[in-house]
Amino acid sequence: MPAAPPIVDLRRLLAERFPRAHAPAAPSRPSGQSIGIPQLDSLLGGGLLHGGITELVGSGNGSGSAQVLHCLLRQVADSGRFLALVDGADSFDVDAAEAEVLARLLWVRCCKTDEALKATDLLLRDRNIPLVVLDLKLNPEHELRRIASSIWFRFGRLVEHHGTTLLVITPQSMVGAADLRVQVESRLDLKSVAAGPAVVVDGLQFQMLRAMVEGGGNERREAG
Amino acid sequence: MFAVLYLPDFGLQAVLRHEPAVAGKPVALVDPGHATPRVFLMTAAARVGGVEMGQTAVQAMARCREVVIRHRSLKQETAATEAVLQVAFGFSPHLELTGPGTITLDLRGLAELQDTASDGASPNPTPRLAAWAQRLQTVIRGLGLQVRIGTGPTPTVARHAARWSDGIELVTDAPAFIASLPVAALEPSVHVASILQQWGVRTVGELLALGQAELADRLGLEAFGLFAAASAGALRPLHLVRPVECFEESLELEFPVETLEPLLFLLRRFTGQIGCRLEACGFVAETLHLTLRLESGAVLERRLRIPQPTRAPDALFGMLHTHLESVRTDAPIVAVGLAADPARPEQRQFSLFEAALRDPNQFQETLARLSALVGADRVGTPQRDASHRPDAFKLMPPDFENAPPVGTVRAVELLRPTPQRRLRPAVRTTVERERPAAQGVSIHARPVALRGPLASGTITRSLGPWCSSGHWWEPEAWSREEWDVETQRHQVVRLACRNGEWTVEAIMD
Repeated sequence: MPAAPPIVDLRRLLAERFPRAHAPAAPSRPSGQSIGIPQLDSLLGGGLLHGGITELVGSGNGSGSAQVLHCLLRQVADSGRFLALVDGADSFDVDAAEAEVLARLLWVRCCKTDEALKATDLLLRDRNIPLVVLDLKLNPEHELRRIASSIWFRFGRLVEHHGTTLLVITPQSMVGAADLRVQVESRLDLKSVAAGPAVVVDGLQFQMLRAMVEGGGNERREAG
Repeated sequence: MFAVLYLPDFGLQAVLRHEPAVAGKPVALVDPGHATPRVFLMTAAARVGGVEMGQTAVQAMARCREVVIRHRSLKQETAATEAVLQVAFGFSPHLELTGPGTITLDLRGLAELQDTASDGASPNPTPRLAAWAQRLQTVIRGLGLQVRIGTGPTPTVARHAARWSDGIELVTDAPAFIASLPVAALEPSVHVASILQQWGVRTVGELLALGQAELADRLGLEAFGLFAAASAGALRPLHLVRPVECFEESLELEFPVETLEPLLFLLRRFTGQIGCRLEACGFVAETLHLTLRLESGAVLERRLRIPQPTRAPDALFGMLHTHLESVRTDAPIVAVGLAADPARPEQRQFSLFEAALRDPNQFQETLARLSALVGADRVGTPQRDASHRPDAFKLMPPDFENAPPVGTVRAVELLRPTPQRRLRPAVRTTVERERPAAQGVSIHARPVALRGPLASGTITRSLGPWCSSGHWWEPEAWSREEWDVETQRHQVVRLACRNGEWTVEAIMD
């Protein structure tokens, strides 16, 4: 029996609004921006998800999220691209990056969480920046708790439609619309600081908390 | 072939072209240069309302209550003339400013209007000419001006055609056209006009039929002038002018503006007209100059650089809109001006793998919005200062397309510092130094404990000190001592001591 016209219309509307959810199962996820940390890239299946949100959870002190950010920045610069960093607490370490790497960075220094979210929204709508990083690691917890979950879904819609890559660095799992969620769980100490960034990065440990199943289209697996 | 652009009631049009709100209303124009300003131009609605030429403003308002009185503005007339000249220059390079609101174009040699038939036959050029005139009229209407266009074999015929047409008049049979004109087209003196009226001469054809010599015997030398004005074959050289490459629109506001909306309405018109003029001349705008004169007498000037020069009105307006959203003035605005620096459009071939901005103008607008959100000094590309001072940098406007190639100046990996998370501003803390057994506290003694909002406790490991100083020859000399420390709770922080005051400058993450 043919489907009633309203249901057909509804399906078409949903397919238009959520194209990826209604697309046929892809053989694999689209390859994204490599971060430059082999263990993390392999965990993510090549890099950050193109047209999706990746959440990097760095809980506690010395988790290593700043190391990941700098590795990503160097990798992006190496590939001749550029990225925008929305720095939620103005904590980016300029001294740790080379001049030619910094030249490919748009840095938005925010003081509050809502400022950072608005700035991210503007950048995602701009469509000129292929990769946006929202760093909320040092933002106060009470501000982070006030973020409405609808904001993340709005960001998800924007990156999906514009083909942007969004990386959100958070102190705890909070991005409901994240396609990928990885926890960096290192405990960096003074000895590793003295050893240099290469040693620090080699010692970083990651754990996948959420991922789209390969070839499964829209199915998700939760862990942790 | 010549064409004449005639803008009827030019002074009135020049004043009203930025005021579409009064279109259709009775408007009278008075000249403030006279001791008693009198009406010398008016709209049809004012004429219907009873306003007459030569009346004072008070008399005109007594006759027609709704009449809007406007002052003549030579500045606006000059601006309108420049605008029309610039647009016309895009249609023919040979222009003459024949009079206020009258421009003559020499169409001879224009490839667009040339005979393209190869068989030598003379095809009818009228359709091409009509299309050409129609396009010109449309563009000038885009400037907010009504224009009549006439073409003819001589400038005189074209001028008559323009003045006595309703829109576009293409004269192919010049003698017949001239003969059909009323005698007033030759602009005789009042005395001669009354004589001709008494004779029953109504048209130029009837006048010419009287004969030049006979008419001169009766009317004197003016008859020669009338015959010259009625000549269908007399050519004269044009006094060619070249439009200035200045694209500016301005308006003195009738009432001070206090909100953004009316200002944006005006700027929308300005950008549209400037874009139209730039397009006619084959230019794009590379910089916008916005001038706002305040009621207090202060002048607010802003220069907006356009990253990807354009003449698209929407892009230009978008930049102004974004910028004005963050502008606050101390007093209402009484005059607005907008000028564009012209530039030739850049032709660029992108390479296959080049990562370039999709829409640089959109990007510039986003940057402006970000600046409005977080502050202009908090958005940009960081550039380290030429100093050894930690965390010394400035933010520059992003220029991704001219970024240096990667890998050319990359530091040796061993020299690269481990990234940390900076605390801006640094957090004050209390540090206890190690007490040597012998003579008191050494100035570089190792910190053994710290107490502060971010980290506190006994220090289990420490690296340092790293002492640095700079600018000792200037008043803003600096000197500092740094330590990387790890507390018993495994917190790794960077401590800095300046003038005996300790701060946590960064945390390891």
